[in-house]
Amino acid sequence: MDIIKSLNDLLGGQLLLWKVVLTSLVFACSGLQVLLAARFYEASTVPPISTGTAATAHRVNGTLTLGLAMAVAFTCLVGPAGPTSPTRVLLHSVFGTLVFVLLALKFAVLKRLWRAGDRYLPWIGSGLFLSFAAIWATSVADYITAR
Amino acid sequence: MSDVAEPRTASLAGILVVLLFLVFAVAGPVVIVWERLGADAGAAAAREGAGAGGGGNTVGMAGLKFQPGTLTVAKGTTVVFDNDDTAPHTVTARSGGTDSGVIDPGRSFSLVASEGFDYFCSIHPSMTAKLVVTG
Repeated sequence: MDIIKSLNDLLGGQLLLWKVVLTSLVFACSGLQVLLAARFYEASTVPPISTGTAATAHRVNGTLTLGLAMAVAFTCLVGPAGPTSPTRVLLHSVFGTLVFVLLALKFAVLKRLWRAGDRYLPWIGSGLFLSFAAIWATSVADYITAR
Repeated sequence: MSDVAEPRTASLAGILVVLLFLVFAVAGPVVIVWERLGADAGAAAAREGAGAGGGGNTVGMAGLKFQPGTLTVAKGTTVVFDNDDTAPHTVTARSGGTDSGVIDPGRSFSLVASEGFDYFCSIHPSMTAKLVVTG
């Protein structure tokens, strides 16, 4: 718990606001990931870039998204994680867990631990985006509406 | 599709990355079970404390809620806010003035009631409650 206090102090008492901003950024980046994936799978012409560029951008944006998501998840796990009530909090935990299950599956495919999983990558990616959306809705949306 | 060559065989780094994500995935449920066991023990201790004559001038913070939601005390009474939760909280008056700052889990904040006010936790704004002062 001292970790949270230290982080909160470090951020001028604005830890929650930073989490709100970063969670929103992760959500936006995950949406961009879907667009870029659709482009390099040639399922879409948007954004208007080459498939190779889309693949590279997908990789870079994915690394950024992952780093931010893990940073936010860490502050949740060492801080407020635990309560299962109200329902919003329980759902937030469920979708947070789901994100990392999906990431484990995705990287099992990418790192050749699950070769047959290639065909599921679009579904896993879509699941990640929807999970990030649910996480945003059960945290940031509540934060905004409570203000 | 990608212009970057993919590894053809599984690497130790790949296994570690997948394991890292699985650790994060499992961490949430583990924390929930751990905290639930702790909460049960804490509730038992609280019941014992109440049986020994626990005061009515205390507001507890647990499960992202203030308990009770409305506390009525006489003017001049010292009100104690106990953070029995797993998360840090604050007692912040909506009208300004009173602000406890961050109350870490296991810590308390107290004030002498001079006037009533609605308050909330600035870290978890959905946590709201009210202090009513009589006399």
